[in-house]
Amino acid sequence: MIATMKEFLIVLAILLVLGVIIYNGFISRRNAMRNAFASIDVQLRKRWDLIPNLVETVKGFAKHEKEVLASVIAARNAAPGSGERFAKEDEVSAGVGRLLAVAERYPDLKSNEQFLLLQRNLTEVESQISASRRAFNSAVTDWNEGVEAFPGLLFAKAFNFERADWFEARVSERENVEVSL
Amino acid sequence: MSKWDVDRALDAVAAEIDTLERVRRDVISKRAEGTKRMTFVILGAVLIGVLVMLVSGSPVGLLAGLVAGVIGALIVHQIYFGNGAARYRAMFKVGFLSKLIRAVEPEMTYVPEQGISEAVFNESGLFSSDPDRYSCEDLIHGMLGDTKVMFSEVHAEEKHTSTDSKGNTSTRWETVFLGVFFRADFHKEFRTPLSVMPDVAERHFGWFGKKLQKLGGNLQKMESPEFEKMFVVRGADAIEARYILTPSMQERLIDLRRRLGDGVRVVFRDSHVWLAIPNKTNWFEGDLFKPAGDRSQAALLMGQLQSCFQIVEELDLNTRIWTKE
Repeated sequence: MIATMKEFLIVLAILLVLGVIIYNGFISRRNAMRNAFASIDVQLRKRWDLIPNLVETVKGFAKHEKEVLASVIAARNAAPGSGERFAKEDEVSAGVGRLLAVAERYPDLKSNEQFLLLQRNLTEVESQISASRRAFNSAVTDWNEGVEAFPGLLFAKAFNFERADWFEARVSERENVEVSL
Repeated sequence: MSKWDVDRALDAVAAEIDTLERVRRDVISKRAEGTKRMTFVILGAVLIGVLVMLVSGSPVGLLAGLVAGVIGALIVHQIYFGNGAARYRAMFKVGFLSKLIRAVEPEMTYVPEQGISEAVFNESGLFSSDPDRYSCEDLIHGMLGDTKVMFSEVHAEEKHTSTDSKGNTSTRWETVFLGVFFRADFHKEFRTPLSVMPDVAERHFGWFGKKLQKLGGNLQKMESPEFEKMFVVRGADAIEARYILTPSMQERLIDLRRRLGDGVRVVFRDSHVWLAIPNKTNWFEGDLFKPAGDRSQAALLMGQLQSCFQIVEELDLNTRIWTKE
């Protein structure tokens, strides 16, 4: 009887350790997801801060591009706090792309130092946003694998862990904006 | 005409070829004379040995003759062969190769007797342990466009000592790396190192290998299945890893690995990209038995140089659209 009890306790201890490992795995995957998501947010905020300077610089050289300038500012102002924040951010992305493309028609603007600096910063931020989104998607894949594969799915059900959604690039984002320096 | 055109390159070093060819012929004729004399010395010594044996009736005479013949041949070898070949190869590097490099890339400098230092090799972190024996040569460094580059041949070895059951100790040297070691400025800012190593585990053990990789820690899975089959990526920062390894950079590394072989290791660290390209043949050498102006030899050397120089273009290191200058 004592031997059986001992074996039972050993099995219970092993199961407990395995349970802790699996649960901690979920927590680290969730943190990776949150971290990547927060990073997207930080980069979007950086872009948000750069846009007024970009608009001001472009305005100085390309007064006739009122429509493009206005649409970028409108998208930029609508993005934070919006229920469809990321859809709005996509509009900002597209607007910034159009704004940078405008420079092609204005040689003075294209060679302006302030504009070149902003352009580099925006390219940097866009690269960082893209990297953060890809990191987020990778973390989501990891998380979903945990939620759907055995034995993780037992924990997922017990702790109410649900599948997460990926970031998907919109059609407008898949189109490359040609920007030459 | 392309800067990699062999005839154009040979024109650029035409003035040096005559001098080198004279030295090469001198060395070869001296070696031919030496071979002739060595043969005479050995045959003469053996003949005397045979005569002594016949006269004395003892085989000791023949043995003495053989020994004398070998010693005599070694002395003749030293006199006629000496370091002629090494001297020619050194002259070839300075007179031919360095000018060839200047003709192709004027901003690059060639220092044949130097190489990437052991400290720099260790700093890369491409190999887990510091080598116990290290040698390097053929340092080529300078600017390729906007990118600062240096590379050289490196041979790094590890010492393994073992003791058998009788207490006898034996030492063997194992090569850690033999080939071209390359370092270039990287055009993006990053904080944590990112390594891109050959994926041995997944290649050999498939699904199980993939699971094994996780044990190494900091594993980053990239989107390209082809890239994932070839490489295993490790880095502490998932976002930085993807900032460096954009989908286009993954494609570029796939192409690079196809061209340079499956042993290529890459690390991004301290604002640089480092590559270890295994290679068993000795690069950047002149062949004593080929004319100094031989077209095939020049083509081979040009190919070796191009193979290293084009890494900058292949990895698109001259693009400066990010905040790093």
